[in-house]
Amino acid sequence: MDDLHKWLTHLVASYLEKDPDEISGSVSLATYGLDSVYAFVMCGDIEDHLDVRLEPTVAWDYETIDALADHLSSLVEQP
Amino acid sequence: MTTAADMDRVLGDPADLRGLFSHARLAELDRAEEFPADHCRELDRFGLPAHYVPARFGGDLHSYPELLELIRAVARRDLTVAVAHAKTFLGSICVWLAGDDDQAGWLAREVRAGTPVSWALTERGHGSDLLAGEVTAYDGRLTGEKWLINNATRSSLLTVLARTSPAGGPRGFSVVLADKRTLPEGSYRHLPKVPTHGIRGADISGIEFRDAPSTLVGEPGGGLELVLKALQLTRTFCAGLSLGAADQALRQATAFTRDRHLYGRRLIDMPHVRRTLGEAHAARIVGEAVTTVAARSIHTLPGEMAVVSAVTKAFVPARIDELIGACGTLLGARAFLTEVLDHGAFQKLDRDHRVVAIFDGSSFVNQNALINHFPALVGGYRKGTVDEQGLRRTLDTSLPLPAADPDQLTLSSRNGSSLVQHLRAGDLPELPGAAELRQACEEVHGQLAGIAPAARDVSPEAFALAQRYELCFAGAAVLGLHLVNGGDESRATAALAYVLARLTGRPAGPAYDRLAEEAVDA
Repeated sequence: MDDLHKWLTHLVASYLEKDPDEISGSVSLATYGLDSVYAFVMCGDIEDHLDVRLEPTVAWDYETIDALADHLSSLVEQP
Repeated sequence: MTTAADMDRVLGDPADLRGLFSHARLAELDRAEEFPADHCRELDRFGLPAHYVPARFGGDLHSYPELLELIRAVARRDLTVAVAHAKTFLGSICVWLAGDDDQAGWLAREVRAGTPVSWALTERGHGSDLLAGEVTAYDGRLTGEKWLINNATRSSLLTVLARTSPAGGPRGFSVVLADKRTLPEGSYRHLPKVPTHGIRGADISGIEFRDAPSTLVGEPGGGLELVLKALQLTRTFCAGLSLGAADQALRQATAFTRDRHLYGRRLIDMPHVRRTLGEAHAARIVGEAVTTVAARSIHTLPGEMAVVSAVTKAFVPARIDELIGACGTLLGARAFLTEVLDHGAFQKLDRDHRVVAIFDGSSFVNQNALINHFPALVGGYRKGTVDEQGLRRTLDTSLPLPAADPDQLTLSSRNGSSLVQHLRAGDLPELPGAAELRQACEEVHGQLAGIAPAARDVSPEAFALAQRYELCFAGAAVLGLHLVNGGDESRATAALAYVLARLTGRPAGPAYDRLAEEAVDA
């Protein structure tokens, strides 16, 4: 879970060309300027990393890194 | 069930001055900027609206390729009429995709009865930036202004994208349906028709709601997702409008260069004229190939429509704009005169067609969608991901199409494009240029891999690459259709030459010349 949270933070930071320390897990991705359509790119990167299939809109429904990490860990932990 | 040939019979002889759909009559309406109301009624009588209704709701829409051919037949005669009438298809599509059976059944009866339906997405000051929309529908009460809406005034029903949570965002909007016939007085007003460069007779206007009751279409908060899925279908549909315009432009240019004599010979016997005409014909063949693949893919590769529809909308209208420009050059002064040569039909279609590249998402919007797919396109290409069965059913035009399943549409094509990815390892037809196309696609994907989609400032280079990808797709469509269905080799050769000329700079000349000669002799 912590690893996933950290990985997501680095991912978002790389999109925004910012330092991961500047990214808060509780701020919505839209607030950082990640637009709704770019969320599909992020979804693809998460799918590749975790080897799971997600709805392209997953980052619309889980708008912060905290929420997304929670949701993804629950998916990954399922047998 | 009606076909494009039936439609041509309904439209009648364009030269018959008394005919409703004569060039003379249509030119008159255009000059007067008058809505083609009688024409729309005639298309209603003919039963065109039933083709906007999916078969599962009791309509005649079984096949998107058939629908596109019908709308192409109307557009071939007059784009203004096509745009004015077909808006009902765009207006109802959100209900076909997400409405419940009662709502869809009710709308199906309305559409079949000829009730015009409009689709209100854009707002003054926001254009393509849908998430900036300020029209609200809190508790279903619509308030605010939608502007530059086709048939905003003339429609009885509107599907409207509206903000349903104050914070907005991708889950902050819903699609709602408003029925003007039942709205309380004072809860809406029409905004004046906006004068336009082309489609002058169309009702391009707006509507302002004030606490107007509406009903939800689909899920609350599902509006943006629904609209983006609907756009995958309507962007494909737009290619039918473009091909109709191409048909008319080519008909005029071909006849003119064959019949016109200057300097003691036919225009077509001048090498440069012949080549220009041939290139324009090649553009139509390429546009047809992309459109055929796209319209069939709605049924056979729905999960890839995010890529397919973006390519189609970015590519086809722009290439047909060029085609029209080339035909205009061939027609010379006659492309500029408003009363001669079929009552100025050419200059009218030239103006009318400009809107196709703009509405339902401009080229930039669609290319941006492609750019966001670059990682998926590269990944799919490298892995050779191909939905073999889906691709086979797409390319083999003798196969019946499975029913379209809107639940399979998705906002991002995880596997890229089977059509393009198949080119890497699949069989190639024996056509000059086939191997070069494969090589060019290899290079383009290498370039795509070098560009990560940017979250904010998308580079101009990425847009240029998106255009190169469109050409890969178009070339793959030409090759794939030819490999599976066979057909006229000189047409396929010229179409491939058209693609390669733009992709690699390979000279296409002789292939165009043959095409022009065949067109003139036909």
